[in-house]
Amino acid sequence: MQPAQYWRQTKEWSSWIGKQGTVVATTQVRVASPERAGLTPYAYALVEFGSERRSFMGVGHSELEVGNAVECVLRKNANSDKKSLIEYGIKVQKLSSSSSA
Amino acid sequence: MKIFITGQYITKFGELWDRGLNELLIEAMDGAITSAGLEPKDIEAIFVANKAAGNFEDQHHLNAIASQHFSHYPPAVRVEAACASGSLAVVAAEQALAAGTYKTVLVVGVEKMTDVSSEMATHILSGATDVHLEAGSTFPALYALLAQQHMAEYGTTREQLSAVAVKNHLHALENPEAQFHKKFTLDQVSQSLLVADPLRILDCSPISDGAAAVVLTSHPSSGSPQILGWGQGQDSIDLANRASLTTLQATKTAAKHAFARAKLTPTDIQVAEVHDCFTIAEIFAIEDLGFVPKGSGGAATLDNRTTTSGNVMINPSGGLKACGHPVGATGVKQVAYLAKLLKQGQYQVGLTHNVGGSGATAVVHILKG
Repeated sequence: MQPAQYWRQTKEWSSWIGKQGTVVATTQVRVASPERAGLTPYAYALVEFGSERRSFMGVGHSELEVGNAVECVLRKNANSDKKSLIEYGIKVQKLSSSSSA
Repeated sequence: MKIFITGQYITKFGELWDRGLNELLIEAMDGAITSAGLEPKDIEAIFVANKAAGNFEDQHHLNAIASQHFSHYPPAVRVEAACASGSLAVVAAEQALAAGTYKTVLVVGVEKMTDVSSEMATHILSGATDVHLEAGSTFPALYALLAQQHMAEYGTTREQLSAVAVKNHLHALENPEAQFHKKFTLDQVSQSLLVADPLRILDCSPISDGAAAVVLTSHPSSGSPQILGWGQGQDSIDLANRASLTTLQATKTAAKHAFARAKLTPTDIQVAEVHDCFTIAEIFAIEDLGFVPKGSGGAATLDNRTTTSGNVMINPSGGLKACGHPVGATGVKQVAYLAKLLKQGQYQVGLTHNVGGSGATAVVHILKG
């Protein structure tokens, strides 16, 4: 990702961090593009935040299930080498009290 | 105005390491012109479909690459709509003919995908998502979400998904240009490597090289297949903004317009080339096109109702799944393959269905022999 693109996407982080929602659909991505190959397997989920829906990666290698309550957090979301940007982005993390529907 | 398909040509699809982008493009163009019984100078304009030669091959400006093959340098335009580039180029050509701008035009679709790693191809293809709103997604992941919703709402099973792959690989045995000529069993598909749960590697169409071309004309042409109707539908590119995750509304919209223009209904269609980039995509397609009731696409496939013995033959070429999916070529290949079948007299009325992305764009064509 180019630095300017990265900077632009950071502008909305603060509005998402801490938001809580419910997983509507989810999958485990096992084959990803080169910049995320080192992160697999990772969850990719469609999450409902009240009247709004948005899709996010899950944190780490955690698995999500439909009905899980999740919270938006800021995490590293791509591999990087010594010379490139360390990319962060919004991901969702299962709330500890959550159980599947 | 009536529009006829007087020539068609499809190159071999596959990992064609010895064939470059330009070679594939030229082979398809020359083949279609020869098939139409025309000379290159008869082509008044060219519509070139391609998704990502700039990423795969560092080659942009494909309209000029196509035009320079002709000594009279006909006007040429490139059309890009992800995996629906091909059929949208056909629509652009139809509109130019309908407007009276030209009488005879060439549509060619091409993609050269195998010069990069599969991971890089995954990255390039994911450019057809909303890269901001769907960061971290892959196309298998997006279709996996659709599959899970369909399974939850309608009880579609793992075995039914596998039946799509088994059928299309069987059909491809009859298509010499297909990328794969190999039978699979339900168990082999169901136990293949997971890519994005529940989709496995044998649920996915391959990464392919290939090209296809058709010659369209508004001159009367007895004996040539006629385009009876076409339709285009659009929807949110982002799954999160879709009204439904068990229907591709763009397909329904495109089908509605195409059937209205053709003055036909789904029961009139004998054969269809539909967009099976993943096995679940074919189940969505046959339901949203109206061939089977909503929710019954998986059962219809497992019960052999979408093959030779069924009411409608789905993907006789092997589809994207087994014939291959050079993305910019696919929509043109569908029209070219159907035109060939209609010319041979095997069928009288057929349909093509081409989807861009995870359903943001869809195009339907209806042809008669």
